[in-house]
Amino acid sequence: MIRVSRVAGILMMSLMMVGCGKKVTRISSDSTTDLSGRWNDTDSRLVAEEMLRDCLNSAWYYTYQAQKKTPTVIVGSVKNKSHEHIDAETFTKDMERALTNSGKVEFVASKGEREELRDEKADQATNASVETRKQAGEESGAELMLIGSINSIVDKEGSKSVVFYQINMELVQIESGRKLWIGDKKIKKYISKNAVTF
Amino acid sequence: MASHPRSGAALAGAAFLSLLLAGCANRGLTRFDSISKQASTQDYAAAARFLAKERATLYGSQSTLLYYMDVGLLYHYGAAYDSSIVYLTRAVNLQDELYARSVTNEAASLLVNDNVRPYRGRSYEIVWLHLFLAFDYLALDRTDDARIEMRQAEIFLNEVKRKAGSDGKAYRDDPTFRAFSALVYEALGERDDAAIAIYAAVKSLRQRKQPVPPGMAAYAWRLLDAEDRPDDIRELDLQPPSTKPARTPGTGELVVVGELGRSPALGETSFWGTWVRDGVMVYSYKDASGKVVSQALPAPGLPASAYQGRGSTRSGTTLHIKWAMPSLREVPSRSQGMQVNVEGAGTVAGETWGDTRALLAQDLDEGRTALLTRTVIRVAARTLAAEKAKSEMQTSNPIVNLLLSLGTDALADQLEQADVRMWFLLPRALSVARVSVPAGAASVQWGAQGDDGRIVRSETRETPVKAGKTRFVFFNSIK
Repeated sequence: MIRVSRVAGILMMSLMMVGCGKKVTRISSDSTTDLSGRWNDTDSRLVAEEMLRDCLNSAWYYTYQAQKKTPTVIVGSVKNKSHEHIDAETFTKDMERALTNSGKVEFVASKGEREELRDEKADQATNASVETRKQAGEESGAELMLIGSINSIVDKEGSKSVVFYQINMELVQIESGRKLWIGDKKIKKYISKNAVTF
Repeated sequence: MASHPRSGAALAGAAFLSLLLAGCANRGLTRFDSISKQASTQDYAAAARFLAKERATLYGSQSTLLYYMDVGLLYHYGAAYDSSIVYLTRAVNLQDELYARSVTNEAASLLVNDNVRPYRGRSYEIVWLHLFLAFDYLALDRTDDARIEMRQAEIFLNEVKRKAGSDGKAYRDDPTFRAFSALVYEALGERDDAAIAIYAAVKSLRQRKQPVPPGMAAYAWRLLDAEDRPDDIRELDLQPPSTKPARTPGTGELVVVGELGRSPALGETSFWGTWVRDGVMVYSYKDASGKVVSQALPAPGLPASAYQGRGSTRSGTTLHIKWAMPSLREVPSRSQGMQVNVEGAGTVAGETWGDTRALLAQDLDEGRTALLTRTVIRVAARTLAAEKAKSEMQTSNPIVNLLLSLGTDALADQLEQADVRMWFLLPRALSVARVSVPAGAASVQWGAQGDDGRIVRSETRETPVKAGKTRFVFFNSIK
């Protein structure tokens, strides 16, 4: 009798210990994962790729192509007007990656990055050898700028909510201020939570 | 002495449990005393460290939300805005996760008390949680992030309003939050959203039949007029302000927010009464401040049959009942108003835009029926269980009966505790002063005033102001 209860006790303890461990599994960075229903890396990546695809297949690009010119683009600010703290840098970096990898446009460094490069050139002017020194005033100026905003609408009732994201992007000619392309991407998520647990 | 066969074991069990429960003081009350003492030193970083050290004792596992809120707010008061954001954001995330209710916890709360349920925050506290997160972002000049907090609070308020339905007494909107969100939207150049927010602020005050602060009314008129909304101006009965704000080129705006005084807290009001059969009847009442009133009366005797035969008697046994409810506990505040002096812009008096006392009183009022129902169910279940236990332990000796009954009653009393958890570290009032200042570094002299107009705390700070921009700056006098 004592032996049976001891075995049962050990089994129970083992079961309890199983639940205490932390398990980490590596998954592909391309996989789609949704845990909280909030904006996540998958949204950022998919929106950036789809919008850039749409952008580079639009009329303005063929005009450049016909003139045998490669447009030089810079990613400007993406304003977060949603209800979530979204890391805009992740999104703009996804945009930059999609632009660069397309091979269809030339891409220049962002404002912050350019400032860092200028600091480096200023440092080289003093410390680097004449042969290897990089000159100031030789940067490629961007012709086009991508700017945009992330907006959201939330409809919530009890444990259920629908979140609608709309990402608006515009490609603007820096010199003239003309808008060459306007695109948007919409994401709708239905989120339901458990109202009761044990 | 012919004792009941189970009485010895039961007595030992009751004594053991009493010892176990002796340490179960109401954490909510202990927390108020400890934290108030720490916070009164105005060394908020030390107070936050104290909470981290004493977390298990002061909060336990069911008040994690409150812990994050308290620590976050202490960091905010100490101007450690980055740290405050970390803790207040944890609180926001946890509050979202606490949506699901545990059947086990809910059932346990009906047998033990409401403190066994995780603290989910009062509705106005959740709105102010977002408000203080927005304040942190504004202090760091991250107005875009402050807007996100305003939007999250709006979503929360929409849900609160939906749940309130047609209940006129319920907390449905928060004029303080709305007025501040108008300032945030305006600072971002989103005047349409600002107009909607200030409309909601004034409408909410009108619906509650509360006075609209003159500065807020003037601000509402200007925003609504600029957005061409004459119908709203008429509906809210707003008059054109006598003075126009002087925003000249080369100037920016300083919005000075003063966090003043101490929020009222919750105390425990309890009643307990004992009828010692064949002895006395004692009843006591303790109010929220801890004052106890007791009275003892001789109790009628038992019929002769109660002493005869069956090897046991009801003589010496007790009928005991206790219930405890939270009630508003006033906390005196020395800081009643504020004044701001900016070099080159003169002195401006602050205007109160929010009062946590009114919010807490409304919250208690709104939840009273539900709380009373839960308390009645809990007290009835516990009294019946205690009576059953006493009847099982009954002996033929009235003295032993009395000791066993008192032990059981003491045990039951330990369980009856009011849920007095709340975010009492909030200030009593939020005061606002708007000053137009020349662009550059503004030297802001701030003073919190007492009832008699005397300065109870002052501080001077340099704040950068850009032309055409709004800069928010926060001061506090939590005393």
